[in-house]
Amino acid sequence: MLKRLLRHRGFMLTSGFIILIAFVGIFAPFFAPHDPYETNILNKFARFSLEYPLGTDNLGRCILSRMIYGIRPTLGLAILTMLGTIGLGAVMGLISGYFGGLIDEIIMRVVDVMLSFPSQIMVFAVVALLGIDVRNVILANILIKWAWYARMIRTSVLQHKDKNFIRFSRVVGNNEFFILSKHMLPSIASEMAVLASLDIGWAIINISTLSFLGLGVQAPIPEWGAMLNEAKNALTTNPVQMLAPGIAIVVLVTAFNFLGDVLRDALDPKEEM
Amino acid sequence: MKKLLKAVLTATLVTAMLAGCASKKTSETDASVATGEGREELVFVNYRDIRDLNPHLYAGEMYAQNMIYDGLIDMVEGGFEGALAESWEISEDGKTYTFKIREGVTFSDGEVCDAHAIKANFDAILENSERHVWLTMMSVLESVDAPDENTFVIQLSAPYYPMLTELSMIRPFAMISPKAMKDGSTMDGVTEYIGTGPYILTDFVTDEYAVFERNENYWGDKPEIKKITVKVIPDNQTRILALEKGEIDLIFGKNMIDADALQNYQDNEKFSIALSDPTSTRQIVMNTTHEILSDKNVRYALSYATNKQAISDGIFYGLEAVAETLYAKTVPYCDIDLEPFTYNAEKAESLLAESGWTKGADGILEKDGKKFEIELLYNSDSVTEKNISEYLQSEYLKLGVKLNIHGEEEQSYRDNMKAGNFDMVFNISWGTPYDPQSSLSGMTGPVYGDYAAQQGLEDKAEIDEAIDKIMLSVDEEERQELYEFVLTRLHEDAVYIPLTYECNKAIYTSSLDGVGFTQSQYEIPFTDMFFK
Amino acid sequence: MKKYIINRLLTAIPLLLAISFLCFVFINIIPSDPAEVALRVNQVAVISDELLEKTREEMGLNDPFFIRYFNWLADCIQLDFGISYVNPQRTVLGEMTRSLPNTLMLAGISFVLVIFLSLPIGFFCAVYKDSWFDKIMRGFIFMTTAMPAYWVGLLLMWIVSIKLDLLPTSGIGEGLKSLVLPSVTVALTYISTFIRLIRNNMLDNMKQDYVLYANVRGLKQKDILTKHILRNSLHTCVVAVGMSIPQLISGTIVVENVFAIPGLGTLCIESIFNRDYPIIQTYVLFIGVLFVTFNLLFDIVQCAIDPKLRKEEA
Repeated sequence: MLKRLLRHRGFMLTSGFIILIAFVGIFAPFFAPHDPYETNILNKFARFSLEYPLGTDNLGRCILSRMIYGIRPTLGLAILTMLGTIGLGAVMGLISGYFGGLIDEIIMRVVDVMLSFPSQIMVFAVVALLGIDVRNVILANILIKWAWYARMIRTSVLQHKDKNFIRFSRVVGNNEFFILSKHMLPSIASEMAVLASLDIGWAIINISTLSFLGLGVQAPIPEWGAMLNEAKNALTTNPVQMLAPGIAIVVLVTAFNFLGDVLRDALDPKEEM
Repeated sequence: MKKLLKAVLTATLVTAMLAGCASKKTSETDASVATGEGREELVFVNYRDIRDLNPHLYAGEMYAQNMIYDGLIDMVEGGFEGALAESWEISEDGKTYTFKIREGVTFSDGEVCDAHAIKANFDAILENSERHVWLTMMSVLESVDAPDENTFVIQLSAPYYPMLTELSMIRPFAMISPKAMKDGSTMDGVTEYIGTGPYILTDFVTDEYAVFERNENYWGDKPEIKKITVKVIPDNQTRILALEKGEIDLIFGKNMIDADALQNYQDNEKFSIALSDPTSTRQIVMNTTHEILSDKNVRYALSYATNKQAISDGIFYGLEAVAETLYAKTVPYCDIDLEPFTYNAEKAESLLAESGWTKGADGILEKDGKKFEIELLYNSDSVTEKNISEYLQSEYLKLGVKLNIHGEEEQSYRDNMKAGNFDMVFNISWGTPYDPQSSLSGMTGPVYGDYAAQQGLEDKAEIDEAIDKIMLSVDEEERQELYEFVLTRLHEDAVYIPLTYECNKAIYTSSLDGVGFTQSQYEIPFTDMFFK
Repeated sequence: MKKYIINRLLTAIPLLLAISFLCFVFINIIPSDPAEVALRVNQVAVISDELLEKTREEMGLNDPFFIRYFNWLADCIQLDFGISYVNPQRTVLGEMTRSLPNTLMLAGISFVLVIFLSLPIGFFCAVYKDSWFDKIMRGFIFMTTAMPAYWVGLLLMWIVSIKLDLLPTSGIGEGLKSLVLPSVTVALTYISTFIRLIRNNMLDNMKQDYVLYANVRGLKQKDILTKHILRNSLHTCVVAVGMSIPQLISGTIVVENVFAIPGLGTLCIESIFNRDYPIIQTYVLFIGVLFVTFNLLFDIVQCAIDPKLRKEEA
């Protein structure tokens, strides 16, 4: 499968693109022309120029530098959310599917209740409860979204559970943890990869939406959604402000969604769209 | 793609057409907005609902209370003018105020507004006197009486110099029809908002709009504009767009328009701009009971670290002048020589070092293992406070001070301020006509954030005592001296970081005329406005 | 069938209780004292500890946890959700009923837009699979899933309202006209899901044996498509669409904020900022009940229209 992927042009291009973005984000100080927090209030809303390729914002900060530094919270928080969601979902799904019985019943009932609630509303409720802070947004996203993954992973665990190599392992007397981590996990790894890449796109949009509403990443951190929040305050006087962060979000999310689709096709060529 | 575009466009058009049919009513008003000639209807905008217009409490919008109700007297430039009282006399000893009540005035429900009705109002206000302690007159007021229907007498226990100023305030001294009271009381609400003012509230939908119509039986000069619709638009950008598109005629207020928009409309034919004289001081209050801020050195450092000039120029394009002291020199009794805290980053740095703050590895100041991290609370309904907050955040960070900013909607922002739940908070001096007497008096009790913020001051008791003395002093010279003492102490204690002197701002369609400002910054003089 | 409905109803009850319980726990673990709020509401100037204790006793805040829960639940069933912490003269019910119509209007128009656009598009995409139209639509779907709703809203506002000056920018001052942009924005975020749903459903149905059989019988292609495949797909779609209605109602939250529509979503976000907990609590409760009810309703509908399920029951 990996070989097929490596020969896939789309896959190589998108993953290359994403790695490039991440690279620019990690080494932001080398790429950013200015300090993203440096204000120059007398030069606010400057137009494009050589010094400020994307102009300046409401406090005279360099937009390009803020975009570059913004990769860190935007992409980083999304990856963190994804890892948390999939991690918790995988653990619950594995336990539920592998052991079955009462544990399975309890976990699945909890999952049912979680899924009967709209995820977005639950995120709002958790943020309201714990206070406005991006940590709470991530926590909320993980707490709400894991149920999806738990259910999906449980299903695939059930498919693999009775395969011969796992039966064999049990017969030889390997303990449960060993079987789960050494046999089960690798078998469902590819599915998790698809879920993960699709999930990052979702997480980017979700976190940026909350930041846009002022409930997530707080000023002055240049998260892209938070930047759009500020741009909205200048919609009439300086509408150009909202272009760069918006386009960046769309491009990045598209890249992740595309990656997810390519991975899914590679895994299961039958399914479409 | 074309097909889709077509489909979307068709759908949009169909919906728009449907909308056109359904909302005929609004489109009529639109048409009238377009042509200015001889219009008698004005569409105004406010950021929030009119709320509870009970004139004896503080939970309603003041501009609306001003439209509906009258007080005994009005404050005008250079003095006072009779409103419901035609004239008044003050006894030699300054303790007895006798008002001659205007004859033939009726409330809009037909009730006669004579001295008895005014007495009923005062009784209702006094019943809840605890709520009005911020007015020093409450503590010297002995009795009110209406010997006949044209005479109203207020008896004080001691002479009190700002008496007329306080009486001219729209709340709590506006008169409501006794019929609208609940068993002669207003502290638990009123049944209807019925006054004697130039306008009558005829219709409202919470958080959407309120309609005021001209009071045809108004005792004074009838206003030109017959009907005023007030739309509720909480967002600054939306308000500007609505003005631009002719959905509203007038934006008016201190925090209703940002300086960028004003700048944009500076030379615009379609719209005019009006700016009032400075009305009040935009300031930041530091909570002296806070662990870090209780150190006077730190407060001095932050005062020096605040670049007021940059705020005035950068955020306000110079429309609001730099504020050096808590009250502008033009405010009565406030022309005092105080050395302003002029921006000086090095001085700020050395002051902090003196207090034992050293920069940690992350560039944030530390002392005894504690980081210099404080929160600044701002009012998210204000159009500029967030901007200033962010600016200060980045400026203070250079010093190694981590400023977290947090915005809340007006009501909860005020509640938090009153309860002292803040490290630093945006505040605005009460402005004309409350400055300095009422706002200083308000510092002696839990009225606003000042009381809580000053609790950490060693000389708080001394300051309060002086303020109490000011209010009851009869000697002009002694009063000036006491004011000087209080203001100097407050300045030297550095509780406040004055930023700029705020002014009232208005943007309106050019066909509107007569847009001006009165002595009270919370009043909108609709009665003077007319369409050309 | 009857047995199924009764069964479903019975399972919904514990779910509703669980949701209400969560909402109650929610308001009980937040750091705010209802007694203190009550005193502030009555404009008591100085709040002493004694007074607080007395008020707590009067309000029944010292009762055991479950007694308080059941009292609260009883109040909720009578639609008494308490008062707003921030604007004490307003009841939560009043705030909800004031905002709900705007949200329903927005969700309703968006729903109509979604249905009328996604049905034909999904249909043609499936019929002309892999044609240029299908490919363009797939690209379009791909793009819309990557676009945050709030940004689409801002873009539309800028282009349509500010640049072209065609529609009101925000608020609901101009009735339906002001709801055009917001509902297009909401529709755009949901339409891709629906097009995909309809298309895939149609494609699934096309592979079914009965289509082959109909082809063998020599029925007209048009008839097969409209009379059989479309009708069969619609059955499944009705259920999916029905269940997504509460999703749409709760999904307006962001768009309402962008376009300043005084609906439930705006109310909810404002309440979060102002820590107006009773309103948040009631909102979450409302959406939860809505979800459970619609799930229940359309499960039953599905059972009624799907002959396969009916047979299984028997």
